Amino acid sequence: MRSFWRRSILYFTAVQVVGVAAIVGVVFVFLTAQVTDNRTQSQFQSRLGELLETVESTLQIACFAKDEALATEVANGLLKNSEVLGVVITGGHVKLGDKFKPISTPSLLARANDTRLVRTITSPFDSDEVVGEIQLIPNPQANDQFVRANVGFVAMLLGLQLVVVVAAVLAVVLMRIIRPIKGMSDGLHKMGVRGDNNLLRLPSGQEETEIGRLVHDINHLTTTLLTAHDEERAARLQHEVDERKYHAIFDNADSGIYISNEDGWLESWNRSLATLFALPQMADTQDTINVNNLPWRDLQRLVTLMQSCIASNRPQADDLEFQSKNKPPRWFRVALTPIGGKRVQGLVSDVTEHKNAEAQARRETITDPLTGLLNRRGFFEHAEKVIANYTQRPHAGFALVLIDLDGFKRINEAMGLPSGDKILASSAARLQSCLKSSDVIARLGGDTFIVILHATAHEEYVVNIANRIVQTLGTFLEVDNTPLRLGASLGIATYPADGGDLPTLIRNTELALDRARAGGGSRMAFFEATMAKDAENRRSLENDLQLAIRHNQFRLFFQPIIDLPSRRMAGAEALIRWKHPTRGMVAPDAFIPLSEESGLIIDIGLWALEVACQQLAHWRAQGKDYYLSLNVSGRQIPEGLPPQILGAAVKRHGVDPSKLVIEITEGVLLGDFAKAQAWLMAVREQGFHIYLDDFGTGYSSLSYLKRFPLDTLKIDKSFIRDMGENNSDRTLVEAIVAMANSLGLSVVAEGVETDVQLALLHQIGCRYVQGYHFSKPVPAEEFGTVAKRIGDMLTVHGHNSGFLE
Amino acid sequence: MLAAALSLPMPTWLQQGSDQAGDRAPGLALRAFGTLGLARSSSEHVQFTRDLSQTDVVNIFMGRFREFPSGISAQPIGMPASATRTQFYRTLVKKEPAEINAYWARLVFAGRTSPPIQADSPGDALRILRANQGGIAYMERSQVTSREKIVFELPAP
Repeated sequence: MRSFWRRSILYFTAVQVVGVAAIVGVVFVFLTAQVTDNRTQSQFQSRLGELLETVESTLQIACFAKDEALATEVANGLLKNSEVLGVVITGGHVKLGDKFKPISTPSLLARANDTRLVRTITSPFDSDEVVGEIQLIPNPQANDQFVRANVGFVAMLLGLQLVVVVAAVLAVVLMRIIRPIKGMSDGLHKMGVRGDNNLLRLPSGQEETEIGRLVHDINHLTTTLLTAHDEERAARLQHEVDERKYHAIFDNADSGIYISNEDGWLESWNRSLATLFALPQMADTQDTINVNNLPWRDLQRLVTLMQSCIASNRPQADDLEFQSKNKPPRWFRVALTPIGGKRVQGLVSDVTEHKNAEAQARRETITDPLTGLLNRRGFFEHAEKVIANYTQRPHAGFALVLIDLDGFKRINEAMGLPSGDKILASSAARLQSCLKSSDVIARLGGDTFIVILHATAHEEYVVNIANRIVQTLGTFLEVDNTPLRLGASLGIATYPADGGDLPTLIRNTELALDRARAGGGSRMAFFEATMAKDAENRRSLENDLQLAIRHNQFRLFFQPIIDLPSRRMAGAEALIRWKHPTRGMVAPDAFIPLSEESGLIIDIGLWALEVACQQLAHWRAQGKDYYLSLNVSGRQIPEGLPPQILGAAVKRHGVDPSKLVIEITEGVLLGDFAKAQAWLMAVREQGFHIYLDDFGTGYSSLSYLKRFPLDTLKIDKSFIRDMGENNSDRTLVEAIVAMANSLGLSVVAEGVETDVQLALLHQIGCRYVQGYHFSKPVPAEEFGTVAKRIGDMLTVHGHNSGFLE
Repeated sequence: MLAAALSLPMPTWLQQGSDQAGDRAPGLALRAFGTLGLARSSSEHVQFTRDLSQTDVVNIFMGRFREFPSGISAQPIGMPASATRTQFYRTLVKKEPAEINAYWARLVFAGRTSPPIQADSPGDALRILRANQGGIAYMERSQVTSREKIVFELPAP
């Protein structure tokens, strides 16, 4: 307790405060004594001076008159003052009075000598004349006494004040500093035991003081330390958990995991890695193993991967092929992660199946599943490589052969898709049999194949191969027990003569193919520069066709149709002509297919309908009972020329629908059967008649005649042309007419040019004829003249030839 | 027999001195101080002296010395309260009669010095003057007779 007290702030404070206060007090008292002494002295002096002044006039008189009695009297009076020790009065040279207090001792007088007051006395009548002197000797004892009393009092006050101040200071220090600090100290000593009450209590009234701030700071520090401690502990726990967890993961992972240095020497590896790489388990071996010594197919890739991983300090991954002895090759995905110190962690997973699947998928994307050949995409990829190859060999070339199976589409539709697929598959096999294995064969889609014939320096070689292909594909083929024979058309373009890039080459083979097809199929055609020109020509024609309607360049020509039994003109067929501004008259063969392709046929058809109705109205106005047949293309059916539009047109012109005949070709019936049938029904219901044009030329089935609502057949002119010389044709026409009659259909013979034909047809029983024999197609304005001539002709003819007999 | 006479400063200041006062305007009697004439009583063996200074006069009349500079004891003779007395002290020591009275009162009360002999009138003063050897009095110059010797003349105020 004693030593504690010695170490306490209170002790130091007390000692120092008391010490300082004592020193200050002593100094103060000393100073007070000095000051008081001086002040008393001067007060004394002034008081004595005042005392003298009260007796001065008397002294003047005494000194002037040198009256000892008066002087003594004054001296006695002065001596009565306690502060006066003695008085000496002299007048001139004469001592007038000399009085001292009885206490005067020589030592006292000696002390007082310095302080004695000497005044000269002047004459009462002349202030300039000195008549005497008075010496007043003060009493030092009185002075001392006064000073002592004064100093004593001051010392007492100071002492009292000191005691009070020291007590107050100590109390304040105790209450405001020592207690709070002691409290904080105790609180801090109790700390360390984990608990909620770890914060120091803020001493009341100290919220804003240094103590308060200290408490705040300590609490803040405590909180921070405790939080940090907690976090560290949690982190340590977490770390332990993680370590256990990762250890488990490492041990049990399906993927191989290893750590190696940058040269590939393994530091550790897990079970899976040992299995994947066929290594001993890590625990079982002392051998040093280098990952680079394993049987990689391409070790350099692993080395590169390692280098780039170390160099970039980023994870890197690659798929590497691994070839163990006596085992199928495997693919491993190796992901390297830099872990510092030029070491890496490798994660190895077996991606063989994935790789295989990927390769399979890749193969599939470029392979035609039906034929096993390259598909369009595969071909383009391959062909680009081939061309890139050839560009480095300036004198070498190859031939690109585009192959189209003639009539495949029709057969496919007729026999169904499975049969079509079989045809394609066997055709592909046949095609392959004609080629070397180095040649490239692909199916571009549908029935179109393409072949690259390599190193074709000689055209002859290409021709031979091409001929072989045409022959081979042209032989009979048995599909679903049905023998079929398809031709093949070939378009051939050669690199680099016919084009330096793939799109040009393919386009040119297409042009050549078009030529081959146009030639009737089952043949080949080499690309020629004129083909491109023709194509260009076609394209410009197509452009002009766009403008033709707007510029009113179309005309309807009319070819009369004769009713033989009644020997009169029954009507006419409307035929379209295009009066091209620079080319002159363009034949329908040249622009109708084109307009069908571009869809312009629909606008042309509507235009033709309008003009035909106008013509019918015109005839009606003239009192002519002619009908008019209008050709309708398959492309117009059904949306291009809806039945309602037909009805509306005739209604608008006030024409009887039965006078407008719709001519269709067998091709219409080959398209969407149901739609075509519905369209025909609707048209016929409105009263229009329906003619089937070009009968006998196509693939039409006779069953159509029954299934479609037809009124009349038009026998193709190819049958009529030869019937004069050819018996079989005549027989065929006879049969058609007979059949038509039996089905209740009328027949129109087209292309009648001679009397013989006319007679034969009449004889057979064909009712209507049409042809140059009577008139070529003529413009509307000439039709009247022609009709008149025919009328005359029929009358004359009838009489002359007698074909009606 | 010597007499001190007091004369008004009309014709001259001193008998044998330069007549300084002679040119002074008459009528000073009303406002001016009289001239002090000091006379000693006649005595065979007394050496009369004329050369008293104003200081000497003050010393003798205010009780400081009771002898002339020549060593003969002096007997100052005072006058009753009058214009002459007032004028005498005013001119000599610039004091009023009350102050002079207070001065003597203190000396008489506590000391041994005695005031001048009090004469009842100028005539009385002359008589006392004549009767005392070493007597000295002040008076108007006109009152001074030939028997008295003027030892000092007060300047006109």
